[in-house]
Amino acid sequence: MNSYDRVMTALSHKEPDRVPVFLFLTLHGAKEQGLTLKEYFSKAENVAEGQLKLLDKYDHDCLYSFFYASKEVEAFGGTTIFYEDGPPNAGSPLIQKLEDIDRLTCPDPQESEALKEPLKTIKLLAKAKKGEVPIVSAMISPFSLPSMLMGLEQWLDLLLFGDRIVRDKLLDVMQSFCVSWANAQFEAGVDAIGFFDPLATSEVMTREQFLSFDFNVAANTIKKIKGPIVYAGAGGRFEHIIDLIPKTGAIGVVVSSNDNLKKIKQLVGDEINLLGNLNNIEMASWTATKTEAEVRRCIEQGANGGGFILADQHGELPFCVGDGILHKIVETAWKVGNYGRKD
Amino acid sequence: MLIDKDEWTFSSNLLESLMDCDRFKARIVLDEAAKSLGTEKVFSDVIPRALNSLGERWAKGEAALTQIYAASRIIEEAMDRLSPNLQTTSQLKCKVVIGALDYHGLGKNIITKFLRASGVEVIDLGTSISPERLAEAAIRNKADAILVSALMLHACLRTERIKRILDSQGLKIPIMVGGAPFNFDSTLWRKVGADAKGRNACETFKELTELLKK
Repeated sequence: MNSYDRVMTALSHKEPDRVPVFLFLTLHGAKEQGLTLKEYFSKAENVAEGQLKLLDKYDHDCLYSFFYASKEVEAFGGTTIFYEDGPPNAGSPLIQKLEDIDRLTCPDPQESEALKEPLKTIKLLAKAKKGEVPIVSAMISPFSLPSMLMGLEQWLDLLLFGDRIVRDKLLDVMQSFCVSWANAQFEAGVDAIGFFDPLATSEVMTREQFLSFDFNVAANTIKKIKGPIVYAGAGGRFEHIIDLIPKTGAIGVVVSSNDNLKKIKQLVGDEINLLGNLNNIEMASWTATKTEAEVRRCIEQGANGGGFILADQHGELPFCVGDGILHKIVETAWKVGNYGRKD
Repeated sequence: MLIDKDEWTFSSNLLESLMDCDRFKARIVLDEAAKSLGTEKVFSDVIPRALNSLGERWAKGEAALTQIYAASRIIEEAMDRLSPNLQTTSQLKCKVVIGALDYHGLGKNIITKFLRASGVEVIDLGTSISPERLAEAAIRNKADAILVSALMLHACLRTERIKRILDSQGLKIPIMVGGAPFNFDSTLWRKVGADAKGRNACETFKELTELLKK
């Protein structure tokens, strides 16, 4: 069974030969090629080659075409700040004052200079491995994207205390962009997209606020996307809205390490696929024993009956997580993830 | 200690309005409390009690960032409106330097507002501050503590450099850290050489109080 079949079997709530493992490695490909992160992300060929090298090296079950979240900010005309040792961040907020929202236009992903390289990366990966290894990507949800375009404080101000008409206008532009960006990625060849909505997590919003502000925005966006969507909270918890996530149209959800995977499996395991919930932050200092124990825990709590992919809780493994830990995750999943079969 | 019934009612109503992120209701509660109890009592008792309860709810996962943020805005607005010249009855007399090691400033700004509302002198250096600048500002301003905020793991790890600078000069200024990675890895604050961590504004205040007793 190849990785693609393994993942598709798991996603159809059946047990494949072993539990699929996704290592969400966005930065490690640069290290493999001796490039700085800025150099690495400057060309589609670098990222595609990085992903293929990482696939060979760790023998996990996906190719991750995602560059960094600020790519979407660049598409709107914003800037990105690069670091030597961590993921790039968005630069100064593009929307400095509310009047800027009126002038905001939705970029066309097919024409966008900023999104050209990510789309090319997907095409390169699809050419190399389509149907053999799932190609997955990520995008920021329309509700969370404004926090990157205008800063979280300004977005919360507009959301909680601001003009509803201005807020809705901003969300309309965000929705249009997210739909076209997601569909452009599917056309290029991705098999599934992580829909990052950290503002929906219980750390940020209550269930009532999610229902009032976000749910319809997410559901209406996902409805228009022509491919499978996985809801992700960037490490935040979804237990407070876990029953609502399948209703957004998402086919999967990334579970936080602070959420109870076993309980979530019991609650919605039949309705939605679960990914997770290795602690990507703590992982940097795990021993081999601790790594094995955590992989075992996730598999014991989530894998039974399919509908589960072993992954980290965030959708991005920090640069400082070393080879030994990454190999140990895959090795343990192979060892203990055969669904109790004796073969 | 016996709590005045009105005072308790005002605190309780204020907490309810903070949980609802309702600044209009909060304004009415605070105005009535100021009229009934006096402005000083509002800032020394009514607000701290409501914020303390909010912090406890956050620690138990019963409050969200939106509610904490709304509270910080509401209290800041109340300070500007009701007591621009009032010297708050400081529960903690100290001076701290605060800065974010990356571009994420929301946590830092909330902590700053809450500490200022509690009478602490806060020197806010802003976001994307180097560890060297934080250490230098703390030394120059004779700060009692350095508060470090970071959302990205690689930024959190730079806290060690502050510790190294202080150690190289034989200085013992306590370092407190806060930010999501410190919540995901409960031992990270020790690994980066901090003396304490705060998961929210109230915990930061409590931990800071304890740190400065040492």
